[in-house]
Amino acid sequence: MYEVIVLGATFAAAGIAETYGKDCLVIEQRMDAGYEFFCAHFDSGPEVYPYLQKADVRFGSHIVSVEKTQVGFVCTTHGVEGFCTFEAKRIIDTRVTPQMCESKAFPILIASEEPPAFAGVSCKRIGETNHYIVSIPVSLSSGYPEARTAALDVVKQFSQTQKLIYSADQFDYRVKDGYPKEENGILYLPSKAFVSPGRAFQAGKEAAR
Amino acid sequence: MTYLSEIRNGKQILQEVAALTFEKTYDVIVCGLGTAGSNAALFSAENGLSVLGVETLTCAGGNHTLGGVVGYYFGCPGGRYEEMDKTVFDFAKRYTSTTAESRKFLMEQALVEKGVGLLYEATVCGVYLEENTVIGLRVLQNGHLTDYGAKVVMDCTAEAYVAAMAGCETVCGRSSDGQMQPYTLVSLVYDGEKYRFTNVDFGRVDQYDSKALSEAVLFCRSYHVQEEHAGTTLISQMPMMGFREGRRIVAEQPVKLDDVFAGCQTGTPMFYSYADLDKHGWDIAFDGEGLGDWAIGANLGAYNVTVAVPYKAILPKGFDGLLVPCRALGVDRDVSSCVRMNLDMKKAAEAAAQWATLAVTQNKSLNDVSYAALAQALKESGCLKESDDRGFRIDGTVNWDGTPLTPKQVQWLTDPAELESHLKTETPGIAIWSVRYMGEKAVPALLKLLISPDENTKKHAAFALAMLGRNEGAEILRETAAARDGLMLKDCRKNNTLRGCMAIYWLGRLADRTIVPELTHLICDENENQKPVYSNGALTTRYKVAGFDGVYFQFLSQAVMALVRIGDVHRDLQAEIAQAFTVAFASDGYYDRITKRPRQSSEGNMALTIKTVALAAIEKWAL
Repeated sequence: MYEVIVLGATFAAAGIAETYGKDCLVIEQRMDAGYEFFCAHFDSGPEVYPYLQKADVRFGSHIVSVEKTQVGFVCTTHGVEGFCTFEAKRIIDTRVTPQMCESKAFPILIASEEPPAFAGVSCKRIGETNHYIVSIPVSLSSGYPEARTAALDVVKQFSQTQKLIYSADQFDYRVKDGYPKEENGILYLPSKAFVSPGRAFQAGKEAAR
Repeated sequence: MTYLSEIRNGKQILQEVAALTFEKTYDVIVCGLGTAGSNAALFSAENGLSVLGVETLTCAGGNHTLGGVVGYYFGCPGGRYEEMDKTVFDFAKRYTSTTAESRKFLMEQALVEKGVGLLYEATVCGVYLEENTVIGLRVLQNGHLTDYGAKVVMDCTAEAYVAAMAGCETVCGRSSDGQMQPYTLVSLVYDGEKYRFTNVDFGRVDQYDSKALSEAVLFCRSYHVQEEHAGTTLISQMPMMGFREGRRIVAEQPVKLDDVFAGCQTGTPMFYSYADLDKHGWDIAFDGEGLGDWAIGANLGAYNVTVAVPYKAILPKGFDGLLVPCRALGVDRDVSSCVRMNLDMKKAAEAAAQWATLAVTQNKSLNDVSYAALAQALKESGCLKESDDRGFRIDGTVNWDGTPLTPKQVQWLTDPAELESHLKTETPGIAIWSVRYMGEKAVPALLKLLISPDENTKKHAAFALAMLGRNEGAEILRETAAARDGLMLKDCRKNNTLRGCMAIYWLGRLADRTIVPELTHLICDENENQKPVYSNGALTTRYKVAGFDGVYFQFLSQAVMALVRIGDVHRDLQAEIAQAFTVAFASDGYYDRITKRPRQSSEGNMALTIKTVALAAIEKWAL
């Protein structure tokens, strides 16, 4: 039995892993980590992987269920070995769900010789480069196809000096106030509730204490 | 009787289902919307079928989008994918810095327009079967399980996840140590002028072991950032890992490399695959004798081969309702490194879509669809062309030394009198391999060449004789091995073999007991790597990796594998060879002589494999 199972290989998870070490299991559906901030900034920021290496991690594992037991929790996952179960005394969920959010956006990274301007869309320059993050607002119920359709509308407005470099593979969520909070014994600590990877990491460390 | 088949803790669990109601039933469910799956879904929908796509990532395209593998590595052009490609390339010229981005948007747009249902961040976790016919799937998305029915399921996961879940027989890895090709991680970087994808290879990992897989992810993603992109700006590591090899189904009509070499190819092809037997690890010593004779024994590893892929290579043996038109199709391991490229996957996708369409519209099982109707459709689109049967070719753009390469057809020699003129050169590969087809009629000529005063001629004649299983040239092979002959032959545009290593390979294949003391010395001597061959630049700079002694690695790995082969044949030598292995690998000295790189790096992993293979032999021999 682990001391804690952390859902999502986020920066907050890295902070928890730093504290708990091998008493911590991090479960992640994707095959990478720290994506919640990367998708918004197109910058990996502080290195997340060395901290996660201190814990047990399972990438490529979808969460099927989390059930409370007399001594803690049982988490069922589905990954490369099919269904697996893990037990822990605590569960900390660092992921974001649409219910936690007040808005979300679909960011794309573009190269532009001039400051880009698109109606209803925020554009932020990265340092002194000609790279800009164009953040396209989408409704909370939108899926990726709808978000890419909205992005495509923006891309088709490009001038001759603008090119799409990379589009996010994760939404950029704005989390409502009120987190972290505990419900049914599970601590909800959405990493993206914090303004930066460093803050999320610190929040993870504090939650682990 | 209906069953639900699942995998729990790596084991298949089959349970009867009393009453079953599907949320919805589709003509086709495509599992995995990667290179193969996205095209299979699109073509099926274009054919008028109702289609659901299940994808674990957040967009379609797989290696072509989130994997960052945007080009084609050889292959035979032609087929329905070309229309989408043209659209993608045209859009990229105007709007995007890579075709990966264009494809993300345009492939998805096409799928949506054709009515394909898309389930992203979803995974298949159960297969419904009636006897051995797949009839539906259980899908997990956002913590919810939903059951969908299907007339045809396509497993395009690349890893045969659905096929394995259904209970289809699968195979995996090489015989020497069970390992697969090295995995890679691709990144998008900006070098100041352009945006480009670049990749770094890592070690071999069992991607079906969640702990090992996760450790590999952690290692490669941190290693990548720290060491590999000097002089460029990292835009993004690609979300998708690059696994080159995985499980393969045992198919109704499998493809075997031996049959390709023997010219015994299928009469019911769905397309022709065309590439070299593209090995990414340098530990080819452990890749078996089928590949070994070709790539080491004849030094033809980068020659292109044509493989006629039968349509029933994507149908799991004994099953119906399920097609596997992806990298996991039914090819043997030796030929799997060729039949896995992007173009092949798109063609397999087209064949699967046509096959499913015929089955659905004619209300037949997959097994009952006629090949003639399928072939006709594939010929009409250009997916299947007899002119694609290109045989063996030297292809590419650049030679091993950086000079331009002129592609040409390979003509095997048929007259033993022609052998000498080829064997005396540093490109003897065609002659050595031709002897395999000539058979015994080549022997008199080769025996004469053994006493040639020309060093190339006699050594290469000894290789050719060994190809026929004959040991008349064994003494020459021993001398070549003992001299650590460091000449790199020049048949190939890449991955050429050192002549001393070729000699050791053939001595192992001949189970030559006389060479055992020499090979024992090679693997045990702590000063072996001080010999001139290891510092005389035998490998061109193109093959050099900082912190990795590639020449020593090649000699050591070939010597160990030769000793294993000799021990397998001569039981009385097993104890002596086992003792040599014990001494050689008692400490990490061998590792340190090979590489200074981490154990999870590609180089470190290959070094460890040598010891793994040696210890496995000791265990096999029950010593």
